[in-house]
Amino acid sequence: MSKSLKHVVIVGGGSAGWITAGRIAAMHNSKSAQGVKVTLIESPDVNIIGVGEGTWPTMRGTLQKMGVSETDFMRECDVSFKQGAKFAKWVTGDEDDFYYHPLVLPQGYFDIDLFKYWQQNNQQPSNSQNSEQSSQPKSFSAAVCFQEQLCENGLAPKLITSPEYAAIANYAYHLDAGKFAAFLKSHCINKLGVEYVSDHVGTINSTDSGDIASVNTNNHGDISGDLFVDCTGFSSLLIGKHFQVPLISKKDVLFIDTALAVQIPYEKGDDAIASHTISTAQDAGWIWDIGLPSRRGVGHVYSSKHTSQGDAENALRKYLKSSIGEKSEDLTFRKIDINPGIREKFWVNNCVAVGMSAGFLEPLEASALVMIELAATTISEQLPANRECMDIVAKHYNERFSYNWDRIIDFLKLHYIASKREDTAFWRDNKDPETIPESLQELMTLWKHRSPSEYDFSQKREVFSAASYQYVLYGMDYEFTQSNSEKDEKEQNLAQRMFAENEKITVKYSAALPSNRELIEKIAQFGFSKV
Amino acid sequence: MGKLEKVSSEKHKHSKVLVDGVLANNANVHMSHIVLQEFAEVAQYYPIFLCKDSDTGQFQPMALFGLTVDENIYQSSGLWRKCYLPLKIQSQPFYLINDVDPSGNNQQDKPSLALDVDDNRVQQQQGNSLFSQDKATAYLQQQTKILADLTQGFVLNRAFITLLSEYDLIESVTLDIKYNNSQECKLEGLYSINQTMLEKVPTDIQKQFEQQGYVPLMSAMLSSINHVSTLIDIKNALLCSTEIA
Ligand SMILES: Cc1cc2nc3c(=O)[nH]c(=O)nc-3n(C[C@H](O)[C@H](O)[C@H](O)COP(=O)(O)OP(=O)(O)OC[C@H]3O[C@@H](n4cnc5c(N)ncnc54)[C@H](O)[C@@H]3O)c2cc1C
Repeated sequence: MSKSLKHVVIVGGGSAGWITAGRIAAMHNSKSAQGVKVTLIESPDVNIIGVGEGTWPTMRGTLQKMGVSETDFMRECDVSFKQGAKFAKWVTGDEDDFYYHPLVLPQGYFDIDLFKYWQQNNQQPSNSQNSEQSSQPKSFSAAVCFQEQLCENGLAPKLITSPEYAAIANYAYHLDAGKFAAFLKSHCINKLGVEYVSDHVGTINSTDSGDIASVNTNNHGDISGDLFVDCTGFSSLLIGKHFQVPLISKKDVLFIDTALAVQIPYEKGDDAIASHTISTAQDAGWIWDIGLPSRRGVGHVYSSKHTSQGDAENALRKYLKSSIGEKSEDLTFRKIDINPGIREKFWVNNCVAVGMSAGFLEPLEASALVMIELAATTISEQLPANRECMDIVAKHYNERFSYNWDRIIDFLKLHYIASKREDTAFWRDNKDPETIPESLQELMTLWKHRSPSEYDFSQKREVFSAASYQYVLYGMDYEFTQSNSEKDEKEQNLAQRMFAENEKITVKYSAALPSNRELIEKIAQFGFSKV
Repeated sequence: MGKLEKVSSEKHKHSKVLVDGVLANNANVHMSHIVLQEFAEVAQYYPIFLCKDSDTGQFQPMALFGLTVDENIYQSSGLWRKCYLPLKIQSQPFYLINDVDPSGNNQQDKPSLALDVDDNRVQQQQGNSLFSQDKATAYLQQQTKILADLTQGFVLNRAFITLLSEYDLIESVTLDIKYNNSQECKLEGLYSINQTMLEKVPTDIQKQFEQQGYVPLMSAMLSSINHVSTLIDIKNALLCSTEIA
């Protein structure tokens, strides 16, 4: 019988390393002598990437399962709430061009497809009795979801009386990546029994079968284990350098390959904290703007093939000038090269890669941390009992994660092809069919005639649901041919009820919820209760 | 609370507070803050729950008077005359306010005694005087003492609740009530002691609870919940009589 799995060794102490360590240690009781032992080795010579400040709502479950208190997490990692993303200038590039991708599902999402009724309402603007009400036609997301209004008003997604992790409006976080890694580290070591080794891994020792027997460290000698997790970020020490698993470049689909990042303090202590990520499209990329309680994190990601570093810096300065004025001239930006690509395989022999060592795509929809969470969950849930089971688990894992990465690529690319911008080569090149994955081309054809639906995606745990595709497609005003089918009167009534219901709760929540800053300050002072 | 005036022998020389009327004044109050020192008495008459302060999210111990907002079954049924009155109710129409020193010399916020002059029990004809020959009457002294006890009680409350939260001993309770006339109501936002968790508390912590005198307080909270069914019975009777009428 093959030896049972007793010891997991994780190399790398960025978000990927600590999330994986925390999930495995919590689920497999590393605190106790009977549990699975987890060791994390982190090089004191290689810094963590230290960016990556936007999460998905999944992070709430991830933290809760590791036994983290939301209050502690929010206080110590400079956390604010994120209720989705606002995409500015993505559709036409005009000054007033924006749409939202909120985190709350459309009203009645599981009962009715509201899109066609929304479109119908917009096509026949209130020419009826109450024409004094000649309101602007509502955007898709505002018509079907109350969250856009909360974001526009800078409101929080919950109350100080709401328990930890409970939401009134579904939410994720904005966080300080450096503080987050340090926080998880201390939690994993002190509460979950993760063993920590601060040392640089140099060489890898193999067994006869080609498995990793141990990793050699400068000061702690060989550290052996049953499963090795490669969380070494871009250096991809185990999966890339040791196992030579190739990185499949995705630069021909997603052009962005460079980031310029900067941290911006608030002008005044009581400046509003945006409760959504703001993504503003540029000539050859886009700028992220993330509001933390103590500062903003801003960055320009762009395609180096379509613009120069100088122009990219100027674009970032120009963007910042509108909020901080002349101070934008004195800023220095941190440049990060990114190489969009995905490993051909993620799990080989007794080694699995999580985080940027497994793959990295532009941060457009904050998909990196969510993929890390999904990987950590899958590994801890499917943790092979022994070496004999491992190859089977690995096979399933590889299939599943190739699928997941492909869906992310499709979803990110969607933002570029649904855009109407043709003003620069970057936007035009993005629409070249050669650059669009076939899977996405097929879906786009379907979606000309019907809405994205759960049927289009096969996995139980999809990274992005059909609702996300709807928000992006309809936010961008994607061309859509009305089917001629007769509209069912009953459904018509249901649709109007849903719109009315959404209007009602939009008013209700807008009145009841505090501002994002007000709630964050109360958390600092009082904290949430667990119940 | 209406209009608060800082109590002074000059300004309130002739002010008097009617003895009766406190019950009528609270006819629409469905719960009151209570403090640890009075848990034993309170638990004899009222259900005790923890509720979250809407402004801070912090738990506060409360005595429940009704089963819906603005309802006071003790008042409407006449039961209140036979019950212990929580200190917070007894202290009316006096309150503590944070006095801002006009000279600005005194940095510390010193709470001072205030009278709600809008309270209908406050007038100049009859009842308890506040001052007699510029000196505080026994009545005023007693009211001051009640407020001091309350202030101390809120500090004790805090420590008690912190410990309960620390050991995950607070659980949410939802009251699903169906009256005889098949009217239904759901009361949310109430919390009590989680008995299952309480049994799991390690012995050294149990000892700590005992030493601090928290054990009888928790028992009082748990047993007091039985009063909810009494309230439902009374309300059934009230509903029945109003329907007949
Ligand atoms: C510009 C930019 C913006 C981003 N924005 C987002 C976002 O909004 N949302 C999101 O989810 N993600 C975002 N990401 C991605 C996110 O930052 C990463 O996925 C995340 O931080 C995980 O990184 P990691 O742990 O894989 O790698 P790293 O943080 O790079 O950690 C690598 C670790 O490996 C260790 N290591 C390396 N070599 C050795 C060795 N030889 N021996 C021992 N240890 C070693 C290092 O010491 C370090 O601890 C962004 C990324 C970039 C570049």
